Amino acid sequence: MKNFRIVLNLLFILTACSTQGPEVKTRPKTTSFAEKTYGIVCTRLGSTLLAEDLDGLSYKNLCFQNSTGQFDSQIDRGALPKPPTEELLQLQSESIKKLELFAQERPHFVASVNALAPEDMPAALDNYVKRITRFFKDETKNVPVFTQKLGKLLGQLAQNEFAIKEITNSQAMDSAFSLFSEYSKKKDVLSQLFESHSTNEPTIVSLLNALSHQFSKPQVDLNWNEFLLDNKDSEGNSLLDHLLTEFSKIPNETLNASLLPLFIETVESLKKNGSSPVTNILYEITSVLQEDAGRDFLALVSHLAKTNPKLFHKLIQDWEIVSQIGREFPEEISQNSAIHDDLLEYLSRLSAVNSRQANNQLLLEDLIDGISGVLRTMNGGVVSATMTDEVRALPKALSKLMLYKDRITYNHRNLSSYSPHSPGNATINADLPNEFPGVLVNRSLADVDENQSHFQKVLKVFMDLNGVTICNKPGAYIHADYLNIRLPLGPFPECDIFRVENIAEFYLQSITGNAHLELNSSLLRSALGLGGIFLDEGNLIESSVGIKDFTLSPTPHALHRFIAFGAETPRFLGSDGQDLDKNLTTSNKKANRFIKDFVYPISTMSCLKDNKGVNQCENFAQTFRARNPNSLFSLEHHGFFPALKYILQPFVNHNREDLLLSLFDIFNRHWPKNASNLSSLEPMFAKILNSDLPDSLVDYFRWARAISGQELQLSNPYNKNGKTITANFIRALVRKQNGTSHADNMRKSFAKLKAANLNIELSFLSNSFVVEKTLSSLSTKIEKDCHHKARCNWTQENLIPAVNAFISQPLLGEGLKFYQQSKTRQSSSADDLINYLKQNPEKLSRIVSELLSRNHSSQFWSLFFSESPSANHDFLDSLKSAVADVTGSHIDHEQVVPKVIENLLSKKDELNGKSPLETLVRIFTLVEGNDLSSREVNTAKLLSAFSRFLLDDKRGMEQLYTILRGHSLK
Amino acid sequence: MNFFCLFVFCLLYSGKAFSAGTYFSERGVRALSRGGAFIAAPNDLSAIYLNPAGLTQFTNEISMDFAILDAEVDYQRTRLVSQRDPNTDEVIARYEVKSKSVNGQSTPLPFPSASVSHVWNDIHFAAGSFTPYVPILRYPQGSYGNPSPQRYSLYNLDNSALGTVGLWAAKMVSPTFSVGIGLQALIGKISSYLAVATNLPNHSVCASENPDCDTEVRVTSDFIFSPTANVGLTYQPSDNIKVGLSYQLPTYIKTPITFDTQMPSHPLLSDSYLSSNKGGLSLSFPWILRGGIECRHPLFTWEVAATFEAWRDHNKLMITSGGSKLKGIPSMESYDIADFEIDMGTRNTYSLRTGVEAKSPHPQLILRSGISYERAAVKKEYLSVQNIDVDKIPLSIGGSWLLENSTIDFVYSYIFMPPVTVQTKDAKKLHLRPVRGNYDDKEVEPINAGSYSVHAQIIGFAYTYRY
Repeated sequence: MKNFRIVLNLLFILTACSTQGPEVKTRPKTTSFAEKTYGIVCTRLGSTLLAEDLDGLSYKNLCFQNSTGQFDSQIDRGALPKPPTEELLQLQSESIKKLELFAQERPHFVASVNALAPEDMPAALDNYVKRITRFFKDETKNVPVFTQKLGKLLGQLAQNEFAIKEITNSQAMDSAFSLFSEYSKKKDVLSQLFESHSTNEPTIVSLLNALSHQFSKPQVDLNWNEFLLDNKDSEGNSLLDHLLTEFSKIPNETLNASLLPLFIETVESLKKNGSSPVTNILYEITSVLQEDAGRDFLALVSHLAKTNPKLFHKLIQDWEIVSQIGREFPEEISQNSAIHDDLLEYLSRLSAVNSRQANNQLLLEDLIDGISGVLRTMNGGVVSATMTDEVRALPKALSKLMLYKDRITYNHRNLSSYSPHSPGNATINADLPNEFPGVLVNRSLADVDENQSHFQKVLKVFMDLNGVTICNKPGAYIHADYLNIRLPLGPFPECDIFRVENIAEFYLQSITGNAHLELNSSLLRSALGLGGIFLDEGNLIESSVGIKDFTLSPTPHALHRFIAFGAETPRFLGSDGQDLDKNLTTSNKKANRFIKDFVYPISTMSCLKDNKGVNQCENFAQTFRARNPNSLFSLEHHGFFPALKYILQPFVNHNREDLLLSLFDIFNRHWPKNASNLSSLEPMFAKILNSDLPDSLVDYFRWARAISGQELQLSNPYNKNGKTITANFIRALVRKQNGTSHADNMRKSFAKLKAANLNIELSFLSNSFVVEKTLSSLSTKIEKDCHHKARCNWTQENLIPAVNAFISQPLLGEGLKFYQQSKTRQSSSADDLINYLKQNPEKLSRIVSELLSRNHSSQFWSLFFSESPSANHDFLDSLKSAVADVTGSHIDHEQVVPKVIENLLSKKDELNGKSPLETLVRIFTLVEGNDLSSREVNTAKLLSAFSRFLLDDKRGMEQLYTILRGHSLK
Repeated sequence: MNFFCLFVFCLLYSGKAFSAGTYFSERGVRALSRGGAFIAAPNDLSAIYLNPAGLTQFTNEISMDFAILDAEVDYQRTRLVSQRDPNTDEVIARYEVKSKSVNGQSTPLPFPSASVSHVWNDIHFAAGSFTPYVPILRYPQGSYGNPSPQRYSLYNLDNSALGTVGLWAAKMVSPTFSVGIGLQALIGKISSYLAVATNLPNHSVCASENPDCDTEVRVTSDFIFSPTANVGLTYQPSDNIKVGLSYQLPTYIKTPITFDTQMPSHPLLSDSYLSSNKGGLSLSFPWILRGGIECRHPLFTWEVAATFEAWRDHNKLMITSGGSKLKGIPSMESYDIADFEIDMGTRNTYSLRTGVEAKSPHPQLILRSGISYERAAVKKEYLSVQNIDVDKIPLSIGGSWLLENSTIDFVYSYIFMPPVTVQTKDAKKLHLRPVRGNYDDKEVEPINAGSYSVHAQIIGFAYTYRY
């Protein structure tokens, strides 16, 4: 007790009775919004770092001006409690350093905030945020859920050593940062994100709508984690690793010029039309796959990948090479060309041939046999089962035919020689066909006359001959040569000696050795039969005409010479009485006499048929010799005929030479430059034909023939082996239903993409592991879902809707559009980021793998979406409407958000000359992410700090939300 | 000068705190001089609150008394602070930090009583008012940069004025047995001035007790009128012995209150304001049972008494915000101020009293003395400068000077109170936070830990006129 103050205090009574309100205390001095903001951030930092200072007096003047209007630069250490241990004292010192570090940045901080929120901004921002706080109040659906999940994600990243290391060491962060900072140049992009348009909803709403949309659709029941991560190659690389590696291979120009527009077009098409070429293609593919033939083919390919990876890889690699070749050549098929449609139509007809010959095989299977080097006779016998070298020569021969235009003719003086001739009569060694002089087609000139490739000329030959009926001429003689004794037999009426209904087919048959001339005249047969005492009929004719192998079963070589021989043609003399044939070869009198008296010059389809059905030319120009001089002889080289036999024989065996001729017809019609311009692509075709792909295909078919149905547990028990599986798949692909086929539909879709100058990038197919595992997973899935081999609708019911849902969602489209727009505005950062991701796929893969790993996958996915689809839908629905409100004009009528973001990203402050984001992030990094011991930014700390802020329910966003909700959790 | 204040001062100024059990000694000059052992047969107007049956002990009287309580509290707050790891933000240590000592001193106001009794048709009537002896403590308010550590409990109770008025009646039922009853009303107003941490919990914006984030608030009630009643009896089994028993009903207060605030100066809160400054307050005082036995001797009178106050069931204090909203905070439309239910931490208490009254050699002088012990009604862990109530032993001496038609009483009492230390681990008084959030139990920062040293003395005079 100090004293007894009764008397004095009596006087105090009156004072005590005066009304006392709260006393006015000195307020901290603040001048501007920026300084206030600095003070707020500073006091929060101080209360964190120096929590032991309950009154915050030690840093009071660090955060606010003191009584003299100055800021302190140092902590008032005297106002701090002294920690009880040395260790705590050390940590307190560290906290002091951090806070002082922040204080040193005050001018920069203030300058940044001034740039971020100039005079008129704070009030508008305040007003705006007040309007949207109601969206923070819902504990289950709105913004808090997002921040919480983002916080968890950052927290996981912060704990992942690898991710931290990569983020720290890479330039990706810088690139990403620059990407954002350059958005100032893309104001319209940003605005588009938030602005509501008269016809479209705001982009951000679309994005959220897309998420909602996505999660409301049925999902494919595939375990993506296992699919991506558990499928590993022998070196332990996952499928994800491979996919990212493939991603890295996509050239930037392709990505930007082709792939992205392709996706954008797809999405836009889906939005407008409900379908897109891409989804249509996918639909057709999966429709085929859901058929027995498709599933079995998938199983076959999977089996190939599993049991013969070498071949599988080679096929894919070769395919990639072909793709590369395609990219090398700028020439393109004419836009309006129907070549693809015609070829598909042809394939459809071909696969529909259901005649079975002696070997009980259909044409398609026979063709596969042929491609694999199996040559069958008409009675089904196998001539050669292993002559793959011969069939392998075909592409090479074709390539030469397409590249060169040398004038190859024959030795008309010696019709027994097959040695090639140049026009100068210099013999070309037939045994060394690769040493042709090699006069290339001049691609800069029109593909007419002599500037056509051999191949183009040959196509014309076939078209000229196809359907042409020939006979011996009226009053024909056969100058039979009996042991050098010439005996003219005749005259014979037209067609009395022979008649060939279709000289083109006959010619093809000659290649396989199946061409036979039937002598119609019994008289002649008798006469020749007489001669047959010494010689058979064929040899008698051969010796009579002097053309080697021109027997009743002529070889193609013999036919060439017989057709091309420039015999006199009295029927078509010129006005001067001279023969019109410029290649008149009367010096070979024997042949000249024989042919002149035997037949007219061979007709072409330009010659009309007479009443006997024989094509009769009206003038010499219509004849084959006039139209196709020297066109045939190029076929005699490079092993063309022996190789062609393997392809040709099946047609002959099935009496469907017409089908092959139809193919030639298609080519012929489309080949010229002024048609489909295929002739310009001949170099490309040649290169492809010279690649390994044809060989690989031969190998594949050989392999397929050896695979039995039992090995594959097929859906279709009639698929005895890989050959029939392949054939059936082709049939399923091109079979017409309701006038169209899967292939047709795909083709139309491809055509639409082509018309839009878009291409599907399939380079990932070059990665055999990707393809193998994808096919394997698909096979497994289909197999699993198709019990008892019942018809499986999995693809149609699940996969297609899922793909449609994914592609059709506005999210993808908007994202791509956003990227595309950013690309058009002088930004290199988008490229930088893409390049980084592409150049470091293995790192990215590792990061993603860590997040997707079995231990963390559920956590990872749960970051963003609840396991309950309905909850997701509710959440997104709510968020969508919330954001729609926020971005709608009635809330953000001053467009505050775009302005703030624009300022944040682009406006340069007066002090630093940098954007507020850059400066603020730098300062924040300095304080929160700084490792004072090493003076280096600690990414893990930085991410942890962000994460803590987002998640901390006591001091972070969760606390704020609780406050905004207006009640306590405790 | 506030007219109301003057009126109260003149009539019934009381420092009775609205918190529980802030109590130093029994009131009434004569009663105090006997150590509060004045229940069996109170023979002055103290009977109206100690035992109304005692009104039969005298006839027509007018009485006034004044007592001045001088109390002083020395408080050194102990704060429990957390230190965080600067890198992980984790709390790594908690330790105690002692604040500077503060001294709270009572305003030496007179505690007046006035009453009159009159006998009519053998019924003893009385009317009067009285106030209990409760200190009006004032603590320093500090300044910017030098905040007072007790501010979250109390600055002062200035302007508080509570007293009881009532009408009583008693009748001698038999020569040995009397009963009495009183109808009372607690009237006046309560005013408390303190600081409230408007900061978000857990240092979310600024330090937990950053004065820039304090809202200084004076809570002032409207005029309170709370009826209650008491009854009593006396019994005289023999000429030398008297027994008395009385019962005071509980008192319930429910009153509108006004918040007079100065909002924080922190930039985030500096423009904030309350949409309404009206709220409500409710609290209650317990029932009290008093009993005493008085022994008479020709030379002296000796009484032993005891009381029991049922504070356990009256430990809640409710402050309602009346739907007031906190507005003017950037980016926030408004925040609904919640109601507060404050646990006062009271417990049942009792007191033991004994006092003696003896004739002096001078025939006009009667001497009295007494001592008592009263257990603190506030549990130690809830003790704060707002509700100072510790175990106490008042030792009193006093007496009466008898005049022809009047008597002058006087008393001096010193209240012995042991110092109390509330450990931080035990302290349970927490911040009153109008803005609430998620609290971290690990970072609870009690506001009442520390050492308390309380001293009090009372001097009083009374004048009684018999007519």
